Amino acid sequence: MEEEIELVNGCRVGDNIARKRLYTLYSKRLLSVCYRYVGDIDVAHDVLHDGFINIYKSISKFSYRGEGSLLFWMNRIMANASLDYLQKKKKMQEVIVSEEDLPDIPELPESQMYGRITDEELMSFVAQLPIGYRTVFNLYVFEGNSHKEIAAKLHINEHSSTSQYYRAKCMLVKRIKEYIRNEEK
Amino acid sequence: MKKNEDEIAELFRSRLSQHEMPLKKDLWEDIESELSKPSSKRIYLAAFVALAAVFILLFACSAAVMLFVPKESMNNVAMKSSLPKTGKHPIVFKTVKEEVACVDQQVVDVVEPKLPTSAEDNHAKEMTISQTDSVSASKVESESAMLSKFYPESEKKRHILSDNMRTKKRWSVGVLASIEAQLHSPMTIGLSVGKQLTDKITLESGLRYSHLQSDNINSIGIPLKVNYDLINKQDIDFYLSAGVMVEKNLSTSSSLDIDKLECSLTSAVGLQYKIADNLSIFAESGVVYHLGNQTAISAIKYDNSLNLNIACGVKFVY
Repeated sequence: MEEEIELVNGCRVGDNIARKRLYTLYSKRLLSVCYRYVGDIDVAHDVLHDGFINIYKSISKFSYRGEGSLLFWMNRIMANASLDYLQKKKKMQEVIVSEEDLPDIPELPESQMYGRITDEELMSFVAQLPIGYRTVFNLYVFEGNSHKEIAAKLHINEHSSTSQYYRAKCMLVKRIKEYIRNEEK
Repeated sequence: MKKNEDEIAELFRSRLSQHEMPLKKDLWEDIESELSKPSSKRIYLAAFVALAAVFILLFACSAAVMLFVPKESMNNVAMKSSLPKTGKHPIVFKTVKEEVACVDQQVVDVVEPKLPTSAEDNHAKEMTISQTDSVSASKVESESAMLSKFYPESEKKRHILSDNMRTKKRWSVGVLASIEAQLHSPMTIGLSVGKQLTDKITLESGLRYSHLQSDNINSIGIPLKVNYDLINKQDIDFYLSAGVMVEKNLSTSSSLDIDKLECSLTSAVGLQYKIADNLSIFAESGVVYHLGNQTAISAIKYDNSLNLNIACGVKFVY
C-alpha cells in the first residue's frame, strides 16, 4: 500500500522508474481486461498501450483511496479505452437483437466438471462472444454495472442490454458443455 | 434458474477478474518512447522559453552597452531620453556638484561668458553650463532652491527633444532572422524597410528568404506590416504588429508544384531597444497563420496552419 502511493507519486512527477514499475506490476492483468473486451490479442495490446499513456497523463487526477483503488482506477481506464475502440469501429451495431426466441439458459454441469477448465479457456470463450454480447457481459459481470447503466453507456435500450446479457450466458454455457463433452471423449 | 444465472456470472468473475496474460516484448519500449515525445504543449513551452531567452539577451546586450560606452556619450544618451525620475536624482546631482566644486574658480569664469551662445545650439553644453551655473549659485542659494531651479529646466529640455523626435518621420532599415515553433521549421532571414507614418504607426516591408533544410525548399517572400507603438519610453519601444506576407517557392528537391503563391497572416508583439543613436535591436513574437495551406509544399513546411513565430534582428534608424 505504501509502495502504491509512492508509485503514484513517482508517476506524477514523471519518474521513469516508477512508471516502469507500475507497468510491470499491472500490465499483464490489464492486458487481460483489454482482451476480455476486444477479443483480439493484437488489438488488446494496442488498447493497453493507449490506456497506459492515458494513465500516465491523467495520474495527477487520481486520488488514492486505499488498497485496490489504484488497480480499480486503471481497470476502468482500460475498460473505457476498450469501449472507445469498439465504438470507434462501430462494431457495437452489428448485433441485431430479436425479441422473440430467447432460449432457456442450459443448465451448467456440476462444478467439479467445469473446475477443470483452465482460465485461458474461459477467457477464450468470452473473447469469442459476439461483440455486443461480450461488451454487455463484461460491463455487467466485471464492472458491476446495472442494465440501466449499460444502456446509457452504450446508447442502447435497457431491454437490449438484458437480452444480450442473457444470450451471452447461453452461449458461454454451451461452450462449457461442448468443452467438457470433448474432454470426455 | 436464478441460481444458475448467478453461478455463471460468478464462475467467470472469480476465474477471470484476477487473470493475467503474457505480454508482447516491446510494448514498454513503445510506451516509453511515446511518453518522451514532446507534446504540442511542450513545443509551445519551448517557444516561450526561447522567446524569454531572446528578451534576456536583448537586455543583456543593452546592459553591456550601458556599462562599456564611455561616460560622455552615456550622458548624451541620458539627456536625450529623460532624466531618471526616482531618488537617484540627488545622487547624480551631488556627483556633478562635487566634480564642479573641484574645478578651479577660473575655469568657471571661463565657461560663464560662453553661456548665451552655447545654450542655443548644444544641449550637452547647455546642461553642463546650467549645472555649473547652479553650483556657482549654490554659494548663495540653499540646496532645495537649487533643486527647484534644476528640475524645471531639464524637464523643459526633455519636452523640446521629444517633440523634435516626434515630428521627424523616421526611416529604418534592418536585418532579421525568424523561426517558427515546430520541429524542422524553415529558417527565415530577411531585410526590412520601415517608414514611420505617425507618432505611433510604422509601415514596414522588405524581403524574406526562407530555407527548409530537411526538404531543401527555398522560398522568397514580401511582407507588409503595420506596427503600432503601445509604450515608447526612453530607449524601449513596445509595439503590436499585424501584417500579411506573400511567398513564392523558388526550388525544391521534390517534384511539387512550386508556382503557386503562398499567403500568410501575421500578428505579433515586439520589443525594440535602442543601443546607440541610430541602432536598435528588436525581438518579436507572435502567431502566423498560413492561409489555406493550399500547396503541397506549404504542407511540408508547416505542420499546422497556425503557428507561433519568433524573430529578432537589428535596425538602423535615421
